[in-house]
Amino acid sequence: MQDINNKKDKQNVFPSIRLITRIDGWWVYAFVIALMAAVPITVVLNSLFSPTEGIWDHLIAHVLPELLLNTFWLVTGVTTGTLMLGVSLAWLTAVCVFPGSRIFAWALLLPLSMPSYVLAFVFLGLFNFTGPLQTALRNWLGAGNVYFPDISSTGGVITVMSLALYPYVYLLARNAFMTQGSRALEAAGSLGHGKVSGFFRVALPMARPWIAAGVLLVIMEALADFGAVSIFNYNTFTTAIYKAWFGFFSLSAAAQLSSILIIIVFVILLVEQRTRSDIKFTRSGRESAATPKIKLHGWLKWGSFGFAFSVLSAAFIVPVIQLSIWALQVYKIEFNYRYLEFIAHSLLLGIIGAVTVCLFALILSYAKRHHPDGIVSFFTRIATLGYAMPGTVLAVGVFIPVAYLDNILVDLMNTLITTELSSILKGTVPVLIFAYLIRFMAAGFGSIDSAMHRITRSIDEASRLTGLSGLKMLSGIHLPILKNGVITAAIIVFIDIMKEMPITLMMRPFGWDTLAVKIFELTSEGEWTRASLPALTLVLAGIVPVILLSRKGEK
Amino acid sequence: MSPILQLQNVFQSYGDLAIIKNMSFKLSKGSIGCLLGPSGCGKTTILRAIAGFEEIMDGRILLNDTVISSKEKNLKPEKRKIGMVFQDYALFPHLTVSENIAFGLRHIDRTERILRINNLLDTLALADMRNKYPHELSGGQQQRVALARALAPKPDLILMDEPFSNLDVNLREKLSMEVRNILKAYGATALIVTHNQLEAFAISDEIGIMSDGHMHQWDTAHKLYHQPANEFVADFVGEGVLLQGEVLDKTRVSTGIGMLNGRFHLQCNAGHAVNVLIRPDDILHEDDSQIKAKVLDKTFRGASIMYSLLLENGEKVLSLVPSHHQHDIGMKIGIKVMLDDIVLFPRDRQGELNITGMSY
Repeated sequence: MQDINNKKDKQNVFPSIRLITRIDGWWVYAFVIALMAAVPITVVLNSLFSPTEGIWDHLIAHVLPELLLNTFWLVTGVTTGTLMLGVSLAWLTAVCVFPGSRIFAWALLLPLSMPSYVLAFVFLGLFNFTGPLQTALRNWLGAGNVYFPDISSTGGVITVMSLALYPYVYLLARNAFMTQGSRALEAAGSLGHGKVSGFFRVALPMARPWIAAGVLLVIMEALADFGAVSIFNYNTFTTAIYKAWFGFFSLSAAAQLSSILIIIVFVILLVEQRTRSDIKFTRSGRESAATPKIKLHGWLKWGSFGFAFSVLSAAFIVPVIQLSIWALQVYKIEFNYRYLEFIAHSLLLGIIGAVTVCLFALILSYAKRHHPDGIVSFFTRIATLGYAMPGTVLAVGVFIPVAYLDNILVDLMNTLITTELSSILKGTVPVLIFAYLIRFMAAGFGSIDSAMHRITRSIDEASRLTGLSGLKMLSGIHLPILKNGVITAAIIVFIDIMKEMPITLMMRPFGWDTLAVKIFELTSEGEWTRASLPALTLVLAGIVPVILLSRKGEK
Repeated sequence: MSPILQLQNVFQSYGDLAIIKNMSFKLSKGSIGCLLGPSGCGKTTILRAIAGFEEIMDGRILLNDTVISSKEKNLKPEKRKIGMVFQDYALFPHLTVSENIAFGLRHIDRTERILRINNLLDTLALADMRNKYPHELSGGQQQRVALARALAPKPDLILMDEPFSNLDVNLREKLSMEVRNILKAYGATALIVTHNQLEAFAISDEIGIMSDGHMHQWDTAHKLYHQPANEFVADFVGEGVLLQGEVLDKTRVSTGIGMLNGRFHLQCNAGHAVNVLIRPDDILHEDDSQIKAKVLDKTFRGASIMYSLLLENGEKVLSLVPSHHQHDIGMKIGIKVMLDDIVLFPRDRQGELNITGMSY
């Protein structure tokens, strides 16, 4: 329709005129949002190609080998751990029946509400030498007779991260096993393959793209993780970036480390997007509504229960109990005016961030709707890339251009009026929100855009025919349809911001301590007990999106 | 010829809900059987029980005179030598066409395996697709792959669950002939489930009419149409109406369209109240006939027109006539009944139709 009108109005002017007329308001908005997201990526990558003298040599000689090795072990270990936990639990809950299997199906997602840094310090507090477990063992067996593996080790950090991140693999693998239904296995059965052979030759290969997507998400999370590794004093790129900036005050070293990390991340991202596109083709028949499950008997039945229960205990139940015990101990001292202030900061940043993200995500989604193909969908891809950027990298990528802009502004101000200003933008809430916007755009855009897909062109046309158009159509038709998507997006982004650690830590305005920042400060001094109150608050808040997620899974 | 498949008094239920009630039938070697019935009548459940995916509560299922399912015993699906073509085909998306077909042939010698696969690919016109993945194929091609995969291990019996329901309506009849020819070419014994009569007629040698977990009649298509065992079968197969009538003697019955004279398919005594099955093609238009009826409605079907006619006693009949017989709605026309074999069912004492009853 639009094209026909354009032809009528602007016939025979230039052949390229149609390209230009396609650039309307929506196009520009999408372009600007994409540009905003592209800036930090470009800035960080740029530092790879403009090395500062001396820094590279130092990094290569003294820092990089350790970082690369640590990162390698972390990624390898966490991949193995999440793969084993996620796939086995997904198979058990999706296909088998054992005591509590229906409860485990959603309960095993609960660890998603536990930020990895919370799980990390709870584990340290529980299992270190002075912790309750080792103390109890020593009292019972005598001081010399207790061998206990050192929790603050590579193995420890891998265990903690695997327990915190397995739900990604679990969720996607379970999804795969559920949508496969038992139909494919029945087909294998009718061709002479038993259950074991069917699992390895049909179910597992068919679920491979899902499992791969889950694992790649896990790898990106592991690479981006800052809180857990810093609590374990396990040096990775994220901690090194933080130290370079705030320990050695070398922003260029931080930028160069960031550039290496982001290249690693983008390689993973590329692989991830390729596996995602494989998923479309990996279905065997339609989803069958009633898929008869395998009933487990005897030791298999109780073994499965025991396995699922111990994973859930280690990743969620025990940590929550420990946090509650600690919180009860310190509640009287810690719950005071200062604590309410942290909560207020967390809430405020979360709300402003969520509203901003939803607003921009709506604009982006409408832009995509108006230009369903071509360059605008490329803009949306760029605009949502931020989820792949580790928080520390993003902080560096936002800080550098903001500082540059700041200097220009300050100079400009000083030429007009003499002021004592040293910065205008640096360390302000809007800049922090800007960083959140880039980081969490994908989270908000995802659920808003999938709601937008429900407003088909014929819905618009039908409402036009009944005489509803413009703002009336927006409020009467679009908003009610989009409402749930927007609310979901807002909740997810809100909770994500509450839990977010590195960006907030590195970019917050002076005095703006949040719950996550407080946890970082307390845990870096080994004050596990005192960190329990803010941690418990975050875990409780984090349960909300998990419920949303598991509801979506049920549908 | 001894039957390949036998069901003997099979019962099946989910909890208290009975799905299959006392089901018995036989399928002989090389023949194609079909379970036909409205959706939810239990036909798919029977198929899944034969395949071994569902356990039965009572009765026995025999394959080659060996019990494969009973109350006590349930041979695993993979041990049964029964192939299945699923409603949604359930092709393995991660395997190519030839890998899919080879999936059930792992215990077979390599040269023999390749021979069989090539043979199937040729017969089913899939040779060009051997290296393609299922998602690259059309619906009809996917179905042929599913059939080839089921045929490959040379099973004793092939089960097909609504094989044409995913396909374009125009393709169905053509493909059902095609599938029949392939099954016959391989000498396969097959049991097919469908709710579409035309498909069932096109593909099968014998058809079982089911509803509510009952088997009403297991017979050839011709017999189902012309000698239905009960009113459900009469109503379900083909079009037609039941007119009330009274038996006069061994060959005559009086009805709202006059006295009919012919062979009864059931023994009935004089004075018996019955329902008489009148098919649309039994009624001819004849202007000078004594019997008059009013045109209520008509549907143009190309070569013919289906008229719905109101008789003088208030009953309705259908009449299918060549489309050059044009009558307007509301017109009164003369009709005549052409009927040699009379299908009639005794009416029960209340005078109500006993549709769901199983046997008389």
